[in-house]
Amino acid sequence: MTMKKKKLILLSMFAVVATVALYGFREYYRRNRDLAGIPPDLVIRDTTLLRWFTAGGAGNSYIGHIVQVDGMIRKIEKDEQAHIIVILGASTTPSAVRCSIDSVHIGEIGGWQTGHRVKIKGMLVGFNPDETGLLGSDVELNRCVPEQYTSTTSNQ
Amino acid sequence: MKNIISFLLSTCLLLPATSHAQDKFYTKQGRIYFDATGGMEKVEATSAGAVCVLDTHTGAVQFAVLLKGFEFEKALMQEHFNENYVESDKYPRAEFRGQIINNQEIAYKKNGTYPARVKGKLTLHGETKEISCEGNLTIKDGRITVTGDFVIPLADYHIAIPSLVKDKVAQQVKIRVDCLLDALNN
Repeated sequence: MTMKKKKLILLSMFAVVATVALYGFREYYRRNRDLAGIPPDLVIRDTTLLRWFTAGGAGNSYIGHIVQVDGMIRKIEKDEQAHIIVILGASTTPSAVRCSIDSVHIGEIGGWQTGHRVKIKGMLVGFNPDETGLLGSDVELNRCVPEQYTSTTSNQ
Repeated sequence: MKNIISFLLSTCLLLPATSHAQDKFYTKQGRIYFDATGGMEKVEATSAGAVCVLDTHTGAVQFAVLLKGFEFEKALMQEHFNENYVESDKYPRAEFRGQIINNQEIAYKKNGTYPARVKGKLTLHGETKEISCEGNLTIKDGRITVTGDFVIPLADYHIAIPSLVKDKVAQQVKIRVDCLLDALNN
């Protein structure tokens, strides 16, 4: 084997090892993606999404997927650690779609008010059924990103 | 006279229901942290969407959390947690149903911090085990903060850690609960 050939093989091996190591490093330190700019797997109304879980399990197939929900803001909750949840749903039922806002995007919902129509995209975490009969059942979305806010109130 | 009797009757009938509602406190934004660090690298996650209900009259306490709602710093760790360890597609929720043993010692109408001893059943990964822990209830202006720490052995819940990462993941997982509860009628 010529010296040139040996060098080529060594160089190729090094390139393969370096690529695998780089991939491994990036994969190991990968953080959860910011969902802004990522197209949703499902676009749906808040009331329909709730129904998909309360009446049958149609919503289960979208758990772990990116879902864009269109609905009316019933309430905005903020805890002591500035974590914000936008609650979407009809006021006639305690059940709701709870959207936990990604901390990176909290500034974008500064002017949001209850009664307004919004579109929010997030990772569908699952469904929390109410076993007490007092609190209402909830569909939960994490790492949510505001998509659209309609500044006129809507009647649902 | 008839009006007075009907008023008294309706008051007597409604009163138990009203006081019952006032006894219950809840949150849907409870925080649950867990720490399964076994080596140098931190293996920890937080959920800020735990549901907690406390009946101050009976001392009954209940928690439920969606396992996919736990957020890790590293996405790969989160994927392994859901897919390989807790199998959250198959067992989406963890829940605890228990009782504050020393409920009579807690003055729910008075501001202050009270130690609480809790005993109950924790269901995780399809397994239900009895656990007990000590925590605190802080009552301030009609709101209750529930905090508590406990440890669970992963083996009790049939959560197997692959030998490759055995040194990195602790066999005993520390769990911390931190919930600010509001009265249910608010």
